[in-house]
Amino acid sequence: MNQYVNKKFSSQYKATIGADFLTKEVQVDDRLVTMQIWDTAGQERFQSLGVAFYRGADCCVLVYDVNAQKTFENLDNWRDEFLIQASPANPDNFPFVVLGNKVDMDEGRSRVVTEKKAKQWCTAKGGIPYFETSAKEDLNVDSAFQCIARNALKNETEEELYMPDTVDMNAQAIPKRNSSCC
Amino acid sequence: MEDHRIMTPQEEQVKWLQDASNSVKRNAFYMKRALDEDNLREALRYSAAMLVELRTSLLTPQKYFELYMQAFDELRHLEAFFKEEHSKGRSYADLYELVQHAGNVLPRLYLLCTVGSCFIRSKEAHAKDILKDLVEMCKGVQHPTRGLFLRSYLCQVSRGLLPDTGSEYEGDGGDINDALEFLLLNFTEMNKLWVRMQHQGSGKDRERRESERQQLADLVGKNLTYISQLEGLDFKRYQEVVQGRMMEQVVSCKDEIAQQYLMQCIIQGFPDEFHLGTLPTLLAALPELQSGVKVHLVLASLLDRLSRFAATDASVVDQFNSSDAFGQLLAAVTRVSEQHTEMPGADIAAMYIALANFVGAVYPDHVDYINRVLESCHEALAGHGDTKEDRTEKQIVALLTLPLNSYDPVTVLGLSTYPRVMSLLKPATCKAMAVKIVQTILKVGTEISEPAQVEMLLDFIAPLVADSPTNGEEDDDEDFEDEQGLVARLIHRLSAENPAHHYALLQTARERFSAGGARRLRHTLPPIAFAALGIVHRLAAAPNAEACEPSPKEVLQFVHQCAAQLAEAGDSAEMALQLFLTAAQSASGHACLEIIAYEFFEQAFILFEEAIPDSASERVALASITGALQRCRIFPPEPRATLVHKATGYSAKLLRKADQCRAVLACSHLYWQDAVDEEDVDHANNGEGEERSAGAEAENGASPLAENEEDGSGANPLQPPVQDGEHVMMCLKRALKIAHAAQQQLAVALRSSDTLPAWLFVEILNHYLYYYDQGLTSISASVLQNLLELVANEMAGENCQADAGLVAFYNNTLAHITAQKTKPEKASLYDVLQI
Repeated sequence: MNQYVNKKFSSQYKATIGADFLTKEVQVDDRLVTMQIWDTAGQERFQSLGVAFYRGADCCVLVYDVNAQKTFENLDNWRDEFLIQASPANPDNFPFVVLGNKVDMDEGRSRVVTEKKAKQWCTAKGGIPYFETSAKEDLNVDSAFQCIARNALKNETEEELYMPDTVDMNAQAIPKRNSSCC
Repeated sequence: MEDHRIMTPQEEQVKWLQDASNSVKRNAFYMKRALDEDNLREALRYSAAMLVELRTSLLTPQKYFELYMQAFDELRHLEAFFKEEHSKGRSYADLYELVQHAGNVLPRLYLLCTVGSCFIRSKEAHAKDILKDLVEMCKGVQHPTRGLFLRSYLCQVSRGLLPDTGSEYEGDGGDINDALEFLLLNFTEMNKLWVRMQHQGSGKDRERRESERQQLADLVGKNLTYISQLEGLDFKRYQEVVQGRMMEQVVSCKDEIAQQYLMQCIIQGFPDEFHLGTLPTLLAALPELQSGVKVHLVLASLLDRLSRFAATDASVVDQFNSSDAFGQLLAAVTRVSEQHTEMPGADIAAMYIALANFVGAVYPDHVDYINRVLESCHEALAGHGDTKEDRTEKQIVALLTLPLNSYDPVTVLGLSTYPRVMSLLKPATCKAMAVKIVQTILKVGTEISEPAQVEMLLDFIAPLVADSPTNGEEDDDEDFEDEQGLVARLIHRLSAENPAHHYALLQTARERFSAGGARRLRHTLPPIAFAALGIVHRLAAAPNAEACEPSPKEVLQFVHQCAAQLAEAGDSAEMALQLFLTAAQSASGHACLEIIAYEFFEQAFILFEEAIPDSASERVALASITGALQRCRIFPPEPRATLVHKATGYSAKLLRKADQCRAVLACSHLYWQDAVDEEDVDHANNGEGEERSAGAEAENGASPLAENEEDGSGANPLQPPVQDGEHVMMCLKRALKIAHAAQQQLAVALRSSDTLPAWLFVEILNHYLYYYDQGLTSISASVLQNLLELVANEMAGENCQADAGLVAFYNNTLAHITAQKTKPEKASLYDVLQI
């Protein structure tokens, strides 16, 4: 995320405390949209307030480390947890994107999850787009986020129409939001 | 209609959130309509009305967070509008003024933060000025939950706008110091709000309040993530500014929850290099923490990071060494336990566990560090009140078990402090610990090769080796068997390259195990005796066995003592008998010690006569005796005759006819040993030099060495195999007689459990066939033919045909004869037989 938005990368391990948040303006075809990117804390102990920010998301990005089997196996849990907490209207078609990160590590020698395996998983989950990335080398990060933005926009259903109890006769149409959140 | 039923607190929360959320939606709707109409004043009015909902005191932090997220999303519309206004020429300074007209402080500050962030982004104002202004003005909200969320909003909207090194807002907008100052100040203020919450409200709400505080923790911790993400935060700045300010706040707030959480945040949130470089400061804070803080958890997560860091790069360990990281850590742990005398013993032990884990992972060569850890732990716990509590004991056992796995267990047990720490345990726990020690040694496969090590090891597992006077309680039988099984396996871990050393180990062990009582001896003596027989084997294989120290004879005497002790221990006569027989074979086969072998047989006979408890065991014992004696080739004719005579005599004393019959059949083999296997002879005599031919020896019983044997100490050559057809025939005939007698007996009273005499006849037939095949001249084809017919008659009986096993046995026997007929070299023998 930091690579995408700020073009910065650090290999030092620093735990994220609470949910981190960045915004990025991105051009999708002829539209300029503002993406809000939320990064959830990986360690449960730093998730004390819960995940209210899942709700209303337009796309969910699942990232694992191709060099660590466990992180790949955890994708299922993260996906399920997201669907439970975000409770989207149409969970079967909710857009996910999967990123296999750290493909640069040790020039790929330490890799344990093959691309084929990851793609199989993605296909089994209803054809989730899959990208192999390296945040360190800035490999594929932009194109992944392009795809994320597109999927988010596709999902942007008409907001549940809200009308106040007392209707002001002068009220005009509700403006269409151009921002998406993921 | 209003529902008047009393709602549960959860239902109340849902309802309150719903109400507030609806109001936010409604006001947001009007706000956005006003925005569409370009009506800034109205938009601000509705946004303030929307934000007023955040003044609620009803919601728990998690519910409040949902409401906050909703308002946060709506404020993005306002922000977009501000940008639009700005592009139309309105200055942010103007807007910054304008939003301050909101009547209520909380909405006013949310709006101010929103405009403020736009203001900075436009660069019309210096980032540092606006940030300073905002972080100061937020002091206007002193309600903890509201204040914490407001400040968290401030942090969030100023994300990326700080004058960090390399940021576009650096320069006139300030520098890294301003960025740090902003975040540190916000952190300090948030922590104060968070801690103050503990002291508001009545005592009975404490539990709920603490749970709410736990939920809010991440808002405070978030500041630290932002600090740690700053580009300009190098080690120097961390060391000189940031760490001091953070630690100062953590220590001085004197709040358990805050300290516990923030220490974890600092450890997890900043890079390894920073921690290593500032270890003294970090550790110095530990004893300063409140006594309720679980320091062991803090320490464990720090040490976990450091040991993983060390695993990435060997130079890290050098860095550890040059700063004496271990010494610092140990001193810190010691200080914590000194400072907090009321700390539970289990938690103290847990700190030492974390440290021992770290040492094991990082310093594989420094078992001395483990000694120091244990020493310090002993000091900390020796005078402690709750050392004997289960929780504490569990931790002490874990602490003692850890190094056994990461270092050589015997070396660890040899540490001077190990027994001292173990002495803190209750006797019952000592026993559990002893089991752990044995299990670890077996798992690791450690070899114990010094008598002193055996002594030491047995000291540690003393509760398993003998009854302790203080421990009167009866053990569970099954547990006891399991434990003794482990001890027995441990005996096989005693081993040394040099047979003399190995022997010394077994002697030491036996001496100690002798105190264990009959119950234990039956488990511990056999493995010792068998290990000793292994030594005999090794010694006998040496070129000059008799010159060995110890001699095979001496070791066999040791085995004799073991077996005799086992025999005396009661209830173990059968095992002792088997041991004597095995030793006899070893004396005869490997060591060639006639007199010793004879003595072993005599002992086995005495046990057979006096101590075997029932007829079934007698049958088994006699079979073993016969088997052992049959294979012995050491005895000259006279002593051998004595032994064989006795064994044959025993067969008549068995209770059941069937047993007698089978025993006699077995005894027939005592008179008919297999033809010499030359290789065996060679092996048994290889002490004699290789020039002697095996053939020369096979034909006489008087090799040069036999004359040397005056007292049984010299190695004897083997005797030629006995092949005494006359006695064989006597046995076979006796067997037939007994089988007939059994048949008659059976005719009188047939019991279902009895063996059908036909079984015996088929067995006898098999023996006849064997000896016939061996070329025993007394068995002619006609003798055999008669027997075949006799058996065929027997088998025709109804009883016999009903016994499927017997029929199969008989048919196999006949099939054997048929098969033999087809072999050219056997045809002359078998052709005459008719089935």
